Amino acid sequence: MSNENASDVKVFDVDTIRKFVELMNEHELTEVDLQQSDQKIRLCKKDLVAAPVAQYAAQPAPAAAPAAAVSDTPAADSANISVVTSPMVGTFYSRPKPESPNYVKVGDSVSAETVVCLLEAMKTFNELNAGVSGKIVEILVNNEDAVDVNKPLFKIDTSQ
Amino acid sequence: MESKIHQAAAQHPTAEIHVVMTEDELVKKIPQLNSARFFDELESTNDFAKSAFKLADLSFPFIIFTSTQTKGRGRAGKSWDSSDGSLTFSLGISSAECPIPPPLISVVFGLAIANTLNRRCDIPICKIKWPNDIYANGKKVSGVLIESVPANHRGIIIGCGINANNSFLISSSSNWVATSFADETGKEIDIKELMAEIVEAFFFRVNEYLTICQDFAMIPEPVLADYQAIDFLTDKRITLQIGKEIIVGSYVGIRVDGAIQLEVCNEIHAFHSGSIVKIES
Repeated sequence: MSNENASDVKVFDVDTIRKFVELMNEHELTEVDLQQSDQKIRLCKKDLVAAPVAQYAAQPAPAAAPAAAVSDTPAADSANISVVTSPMVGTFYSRPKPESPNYVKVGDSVSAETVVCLLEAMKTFNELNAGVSGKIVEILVNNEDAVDVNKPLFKIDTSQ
Repeated sequence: MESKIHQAAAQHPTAEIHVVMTEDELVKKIPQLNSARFFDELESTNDFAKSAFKLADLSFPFIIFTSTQTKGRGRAGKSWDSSDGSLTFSLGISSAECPIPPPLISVVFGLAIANTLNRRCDIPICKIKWPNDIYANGKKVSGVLIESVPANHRGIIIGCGINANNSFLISSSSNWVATSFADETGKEIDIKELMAEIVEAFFFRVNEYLTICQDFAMIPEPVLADYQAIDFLTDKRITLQIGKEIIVGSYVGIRVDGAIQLEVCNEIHAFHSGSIVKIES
C-alpha cells in the first residue's frame, strides 16, 4: 500500500507562473524568485548563463556503485583536510530515513568505511563511504540538496 | 533456513496462494538465481537483503520474499507497507555480474514489471512513469526502490512492491491514487509465479542489454522503444521537485542515459534526479 500521493504536494500553479512571466516581459526583468512556504521557484530568461534549470542539464549519467571521491586539499584549507566530493549527480540525503539521525555530524570520527550520506538518482540510493579516516570538520551541503558531480560534501581532518 | 510459509498458511486461509512455490522450486525455475528466502513477515525485504549482502550470508543473485512487510520504504522514507495479497520482494545482484549503472537497472526493472503485468491482461493497461513506477489505468500499482551498498561490497538491491490481489476499492480517501492489478482486471494472481516471471523478464532484459550494448551507460534502442511504447508521461505537463526547487515543463521523453527531459521556456533540459509531484494532461 503506497502512501505516496502526488496531488498532496502544493506548488505554484501554471496560471500564476504565466502571470509572472508576463510581468517579467513587461518590465524587462531577467530573473524572479518566488517563495511559498518552503517551496520556491526561480524564473529566468533563457539566455541567462546561470539559469538554475540549465545547471542540471548537461551532467553525466550517475555512475555504477559510486565510490567515495576524496579530493586534495583546497588552497584555503590546511594540508590535513580532505574533501569528500559527490561522484554523481543526484540528491543528497544526510540520513537513511526522515526520522533517523544524520549518518554523521561535525566532530564525529570516521573511518574510510563509514557511510556518511546517501546519494539518490532515479530512485536509486547509493551509500557513500568517507573514503578516509579522520574527523568531520564541516558538512558543506544540506539534506535533500541537489548535487552535481564533484560537488564538495564533507571536509575531514585526517590528522585526528 | 526453513520457510515459514507453511506456518503462515495454517494461520491465514488466504495464504493458500502463497504455498504454491517453495524456495528451492523458485531457484530451479530461474537459472540465474542462486538462492531464495521466503518469510511470512519482515520489516523490510531491502533491509534484510542489505544485511545478507554485507554479511555474505547469501550467494547472489538472491531473492528475499515476504508475505507481509511492516516497515517498507519508498523514496525519501515514504512508507510502502504490504498487506495480504500484495507482492513484496527484493532481488540482490552483484554489480560485477550486472555492470549496468543502477539508475538504468531501475528503468529496466520497471519495464520488466510492466511488460509482465501486461502479458496477463486481455488489453495492456500498465504504463511506466519515470523512472520506474507502474500505473494501471492511471493509478499507481507498483513501485521500485534500488539501493547500492558501499562500493567495496558492490551489491545492488532491487526492492519491488506490487499491489496484486489486495484491494483499494473500499478506500475512503477521494484522493487515493493507488490501485491493484485485481481491482483493475478482476483477476487474482499467484504472487510467487508473478515474482518469478518478473525476475525472469528482468534477467532476459539484462542479457539483451549486455549483448547488444556497446556502452552500458546508454539504454539500447529496443529497450528504449519498449519504454516509449508504454510511457505514462507522454504528452503530459510535469512538475518536478529537486530538493527545494520546482521545475515545470512539458515532458519530451527519457534520454538514452535514463534522464527525464522537460521542455522549459522552449529549451529541452534533462534531469537525473528529482520527484514528479504533479502531472497534468
